[in-house]
Amino acid sequence: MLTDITIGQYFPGNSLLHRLDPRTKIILLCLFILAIFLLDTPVAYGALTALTGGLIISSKLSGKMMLKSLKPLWWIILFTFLIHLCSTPGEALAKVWVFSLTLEGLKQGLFISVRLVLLILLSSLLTFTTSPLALTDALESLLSPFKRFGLPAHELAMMMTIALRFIPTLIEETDKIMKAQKSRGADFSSGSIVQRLKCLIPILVPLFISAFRRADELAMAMEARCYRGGIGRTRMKVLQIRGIDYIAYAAAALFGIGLTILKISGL
Amino acid sequence: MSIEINKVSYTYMPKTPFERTALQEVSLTIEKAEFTAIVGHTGSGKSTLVQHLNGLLQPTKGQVMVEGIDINGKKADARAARRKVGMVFQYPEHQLFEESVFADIAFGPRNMELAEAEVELRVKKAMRFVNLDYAEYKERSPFQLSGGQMRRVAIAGVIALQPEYLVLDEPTAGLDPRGRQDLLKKISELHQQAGIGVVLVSHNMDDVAQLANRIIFMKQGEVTVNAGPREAFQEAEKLKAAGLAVPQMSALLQRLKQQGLAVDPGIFHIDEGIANILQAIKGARSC
Repeated sequence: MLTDITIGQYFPGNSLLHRLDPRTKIILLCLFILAIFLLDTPVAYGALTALTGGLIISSKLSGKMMLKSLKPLWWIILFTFLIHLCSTPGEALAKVWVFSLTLEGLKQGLFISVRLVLLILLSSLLTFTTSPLALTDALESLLSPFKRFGLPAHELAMMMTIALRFIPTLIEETDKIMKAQKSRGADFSSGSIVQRLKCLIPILVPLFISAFRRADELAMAMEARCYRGGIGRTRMKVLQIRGIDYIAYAAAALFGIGLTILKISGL
Repeated sequence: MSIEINKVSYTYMPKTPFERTALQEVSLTIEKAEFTAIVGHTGSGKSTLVQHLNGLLQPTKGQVMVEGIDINGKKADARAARRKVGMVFQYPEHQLFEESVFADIAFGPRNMELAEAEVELRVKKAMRFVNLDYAEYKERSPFQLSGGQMRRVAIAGVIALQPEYLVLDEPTAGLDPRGRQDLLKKISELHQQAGIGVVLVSHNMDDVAQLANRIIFMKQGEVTVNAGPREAFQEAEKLKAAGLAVPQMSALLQRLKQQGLAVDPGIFHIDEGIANILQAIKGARSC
């Protein structure tokens, strides 16, 4: 039930994508997203889609898993597509009630949908192949140049680590509380909206109490180990840019040049 | 009058890389007249098993019958059958949420849509059972109570449902020895006087030895031993394999026997054990 959530989940593995430095993955993802928004020709989109497909295959994750990550946003994608289909002015293909469906609308709608799908797939790919810890380490490392402007990079990363670390714990806790209340006859799956909202109280109250208790215990444990923020802290595992990262950057650069040439030549 | 578990298998997160089989074709019968203890190491599947008893988890394969009715069936009586089994989770005090002790214990009975007079009656009865004074505690916030009292309120909340079977998952975890003794005594009373079928999940062999008349060992999702306590504790090898210790009294008697004292190492009950040792010492002196 609750354990079926895939967003933000990490699947351990040893593929090429798993071995890349998390910083490389984040930077390349940002560039990729930029490319998705800058490009608008069918050929360029074909190339991006092919690249995404290649990355998914090289990650050795099951296609089903990737499709599942799209599931929560399926309706948004469909809705966006329909809006674009109906509201773009141009040559009318057909008329349904007050809406006229246009060829331009169809094109535009498809573009936007592909954009959204690619965005979700690529971001999922990052979280599927990178452990949350590696991800926050990478963010800290990428944000550290801004430290001199007063940005608390380490603290931000620590906050994210703690938040990510407690997502599964709290999901488990919710599951347990729901089961306990179900055993006492609570019914979460029927009744009017008001009744269902009322049903949330027996879950949310114990959940909040337990979250505060855990936060308190964690703070105590950190203090007991003399945690005092980022200054002078060293790491057990230092992130290192290695050979495959340079190869990845080079490949991305070549791909980028290719896309730029396509764009200039107007394809 | 029994719960029958028929070839039940359960898999967590099927069809993902995290797929894990927690139960493998478990079959057993829980008699209402018996005090059943389920013991096993962490991760042996005992918590997963007991969650099948009132339909919180549905078996991937197999079926669970409460008094002859499949509790995962579609018919209306399946729901009634599920309600016959009350469940007390580990650290049950973590599920308290109401403003007053009364309201929290009344949550279950109110969900059963009972008349308010009946609800009050049941709350009173349940509070008396767990030794909480009704007049003193009914208006108190459950969050201002001590840990042991909170646990008693939570257990009263399940008892107020008046189930025919009561499943308790490690009910004594985190209690002091006194609180533990009191609670176990109450549970035993519930079995003997009210005739409720009790299933106790535990890894404390001494508790189990004092109370249970049927012991089920679990290891890696399978039942390895299902017997009365005397036979069960004889299987010391299987106990060790399951990562459990024999009760302290059995361990003591086994060592005394090795030292040459004529005691019966099959005894696990503390009072019987003491009598047995005294007798053996007398016997040794007289010759």
